[in-house]
Amino acid sequence: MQPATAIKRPDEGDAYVAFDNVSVSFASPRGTVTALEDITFSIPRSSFVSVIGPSGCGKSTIFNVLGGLLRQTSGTVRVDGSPVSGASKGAGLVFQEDSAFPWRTVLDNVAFPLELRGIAKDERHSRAREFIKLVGLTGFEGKYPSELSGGMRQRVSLARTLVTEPALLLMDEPFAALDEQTRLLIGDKISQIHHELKQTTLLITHNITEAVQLSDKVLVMTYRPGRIKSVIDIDLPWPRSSEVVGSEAFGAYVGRIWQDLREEASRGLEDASRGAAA
Amino acid sequence: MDSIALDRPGAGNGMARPAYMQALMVIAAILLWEVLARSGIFYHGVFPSILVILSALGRLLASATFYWHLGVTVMEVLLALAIGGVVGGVVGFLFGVSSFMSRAFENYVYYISATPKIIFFPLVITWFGIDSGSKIGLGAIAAFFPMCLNIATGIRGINPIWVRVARSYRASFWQMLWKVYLPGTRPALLTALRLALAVTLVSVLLAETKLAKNGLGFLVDGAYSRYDMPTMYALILFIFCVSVGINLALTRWIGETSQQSFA
Amino acid sequence: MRPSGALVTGIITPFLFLYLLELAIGAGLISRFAVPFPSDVLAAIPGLVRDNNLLGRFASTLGMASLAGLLICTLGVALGAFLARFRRIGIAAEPLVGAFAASPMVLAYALFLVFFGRNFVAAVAFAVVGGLPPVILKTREGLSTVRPVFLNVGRSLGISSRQMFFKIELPAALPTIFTGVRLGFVFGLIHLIAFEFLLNFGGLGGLVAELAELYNPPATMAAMLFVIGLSAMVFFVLERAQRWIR
Repeated sequence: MQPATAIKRPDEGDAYVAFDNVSVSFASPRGTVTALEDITFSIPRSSFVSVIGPSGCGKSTIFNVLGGLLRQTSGTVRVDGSPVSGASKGAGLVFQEDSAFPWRTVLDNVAFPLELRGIAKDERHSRAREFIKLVGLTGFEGKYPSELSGGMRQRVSLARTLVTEPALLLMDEPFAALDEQTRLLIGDKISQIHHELKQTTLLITHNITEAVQLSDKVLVMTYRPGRIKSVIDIDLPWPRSSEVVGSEAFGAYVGRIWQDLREEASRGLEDASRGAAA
Repeated sequence: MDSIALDRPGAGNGMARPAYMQALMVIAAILLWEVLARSGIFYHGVFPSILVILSALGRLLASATFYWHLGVTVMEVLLALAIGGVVGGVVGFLFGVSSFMSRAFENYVYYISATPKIIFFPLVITWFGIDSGSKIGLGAIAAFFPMCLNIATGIRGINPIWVRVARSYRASFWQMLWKVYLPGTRPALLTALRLALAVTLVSVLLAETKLAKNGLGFLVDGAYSRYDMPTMYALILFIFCVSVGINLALTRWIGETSQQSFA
Repeated sequence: MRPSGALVTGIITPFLFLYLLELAIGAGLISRFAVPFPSDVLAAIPGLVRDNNLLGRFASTLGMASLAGLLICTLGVALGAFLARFRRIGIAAEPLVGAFAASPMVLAYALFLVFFGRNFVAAVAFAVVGGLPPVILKTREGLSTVRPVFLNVGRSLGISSRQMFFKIELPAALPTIFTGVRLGFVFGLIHLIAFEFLLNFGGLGGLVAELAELYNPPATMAAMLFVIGLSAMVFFVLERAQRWIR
């Protein structure tokens, strides 16, 4: 299972991110809702981990807690050894919804985080251009988001997040709204970027192919309350070219993840239809 | 700590509270008024205490002539609304169903709507004299504009599929009007009426202050020239409360029936 | 490109109507005391410019309206922002401000003279009170409905609340705020002209009132046309400005 071209995986003990018995509950009109229950996992430095699960399983909650937007009810969350408290400058977040600022050009959007830090115009523009090039949007610097397609707007958001070169990159289903072809192409770009910049990355997704294509490790979650059902190491060669994606091994991973996921997904569907009938 | 933008499933996050907050604000405003009135900062009489105003209001409500003037104004406003409303509604309907007419003429209505209608008062006086006729005429002109524009927008906003389905059943004009257009424009009609009422009321009252022999505006002007500030404030307070009340009633009445018609 | 039939009809019809009117009045079908000859109205304009300082009055009304507009913007946006920041106060205040705006409070116009004296401050103050509500309401609305994801982007970058307001909330709310500003300007102008007319206060509105008292129907109508022209122009310019802001 270990082809010669496999990259040496970092030591599991070198955990950049560590979730330890984390639970998150909300008060709601219908009583207490537990979004996450006893989540424990770690992400080694510079690795790419995907979290996959059915809709409503609380995977976005992991994103929000790690990103400092939401406080956990119990347990500890550590990044690089220190506990998370509020947004940290070392983490970059890419959101699911369209988050490119419509009132700024592509260049000003990407340069935004640098502008906040008071970096001079020339320098921040040239740095922004680097990352615009990285996501493949050269030539569109002067355009406004309304003139771009959905995929391009997400790339703007991605470039804006990367421009501060965060050590931790968090993405919450950023490609959910895109069509399949665009998604695959951007997926390739993400892999490229990951191997160039080597940030520790967490990707929340509902797309199994995407998870297997991009990650070193996949976490499968249960339906509400969200728990980790299984952890699957993806032992496939990099880069994940179309040959790799088409290979039997790839298909086997997808099948295995779907097996774990299927049960949870159907529970989610039941719940939804019960709710609709109510 | 907590996310600012995540959905906070908090129980009834102040849903019942606005009313308390509003009551608080009104009370605070009244107290502020009292403080200013008694402070002596303002020229004597310009800022009478609430109690003085309320007693003036009491005297008004007890006097027969007040109701006579009230009746005159009410009659003028209602007639103006009826005339301006109907004409505005018909023209608005025309603009709504015929894109040709709309493209040709609606812009005139749109841009003239930004003018204060009171400016046409001299014109209406030459036509109808200085009695109620001129106020009704002015009010009708004022009511025309919001009615026309909102109805036109409302008709255009009706789902074209309904129109096509009705046509495919060969509905007659009157059936179309009653079963498709009228129900479809109910929300726009509400907006139109509220706006028309507001501008008509203002135009009629202002015209009455400028040149009239009766009506509430005439009373306001009279109080002002006598320097009877309490009465003037009392009148304004009365008119304010009534117009807010009518607004609420309109919203509730047309709002309710619109739900029924879609059931 | 051929102009559309509707546009042509729209432009020709008023001229046709005025021509027919001219003929009808000449033939005695319509009393010339009720409706002045359109040609007389046109002819009255040069006299207005020469003897009644038409252009000067136009400028003075526009000038006061602009001053009022400036105040309406700054005060209105500031108050609207305050109401957006303190959500509970804002939600409670909204219907109150709306009720005030819809009510005939404008009846108290004469009081402004008493408070401020018979000078331009009274007129501008009256215009400001008239134009403030839409700006306040729209500003509050715009700032309260900024898409949460934009706020989250700011939060995730760890920015201060000052930066959040000026670099994210305000730009995001700008289209809505500008709608309010547009309405506020127009309402302010309407209030100003009404004030001038009702109190013979000079400016264009006062001109209509003066000419009406002198019983000069053609000149009065000509002045009315200029009032319509001024309001339509301001309205049109603001609309274009909003389109340009995107």
